[in-house]
Amino acid sequence: MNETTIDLDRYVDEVRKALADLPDDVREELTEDLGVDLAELVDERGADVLPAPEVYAAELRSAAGLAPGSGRVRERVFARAVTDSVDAAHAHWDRLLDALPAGGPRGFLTAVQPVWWVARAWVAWMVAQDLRQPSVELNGPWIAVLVVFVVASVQLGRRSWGVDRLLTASVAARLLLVALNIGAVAALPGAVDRAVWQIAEDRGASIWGEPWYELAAPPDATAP
Amino acid sequence: MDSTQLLKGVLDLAVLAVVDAEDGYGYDVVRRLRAAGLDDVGDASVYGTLRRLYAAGSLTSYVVPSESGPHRKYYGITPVGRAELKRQGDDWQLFSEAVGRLLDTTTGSAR
Repeated sequence: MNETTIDLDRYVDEVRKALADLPDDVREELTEDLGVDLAELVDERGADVLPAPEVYAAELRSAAGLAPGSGRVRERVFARAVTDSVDAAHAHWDRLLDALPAGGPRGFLTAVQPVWWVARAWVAWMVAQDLRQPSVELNGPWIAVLVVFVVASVQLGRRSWGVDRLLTASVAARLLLVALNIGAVAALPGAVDRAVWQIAEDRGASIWGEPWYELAAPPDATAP
Repeated sequence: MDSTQLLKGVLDLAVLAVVDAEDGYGYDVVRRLRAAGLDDVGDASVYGTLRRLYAAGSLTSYVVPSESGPHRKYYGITPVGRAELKRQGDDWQLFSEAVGRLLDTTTGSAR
């Protein structure tokens, strides 16, 4: 009996998955209390009357006058699963924050969020510099690049420029944003380190009047 | 004859008619539809139709405990459902008469 219940739960899940491309309310309408109905059917006629979940889903679809599921269903099922897990992770993070004492660190974090938007733009700028040249330049073109990065990052953070719609529509865009943020967090210490070294190098150069560190270093250490 | 395609269009009507005659649970409705001659009707189609009609307010439902096995979810018709049955029933009557007349004039001996 217990085993049947578990199997039916999984069966219901499979049916729902096969209908994942439908709007939420339509799918809910078609599968609400499906478990109860299946339990009744199995009780009347035995478990072997149940077809494969996909077949059952196709019959539900067809009886409701909906077009058959396209080949893209599997793709959309995957996309939905990814979206769901990103949503779940986000909700988990929110809950974690809310569970912390001391009057809502969430409000504080929301307030300092713009700082992060600027910081990640700066990290991207440092990475770009690192890819282009050995030292950090602070000239006109690079300042222009920094401004562009900051504006883009802030607009991304504010969900402007249709970013909001893109993130709702495209799982890939959402994953890319998550990946970029994680990348920025990972690259932050390196960027800070590089900046600190650059400041030290500049200070040394201003004292010694020449790139002393390059002269002092053994030749193989400066090779890129 | 494969009546699956024909059935699709009138399943709502058929289910409403069966439940209007007497309240019933899912498989009971399936059985009564088949007994009435709609042999090709599928379990999932009927269960799905019951759920859709319920969501649309055409049916009401209540649970009847069963001593052996799971509880039975019974469906009954609502005034909304009865109005729908009347409307769709009239449509069907007109439609089938029209098709019947067509068959009579073209073959002379339909059915």
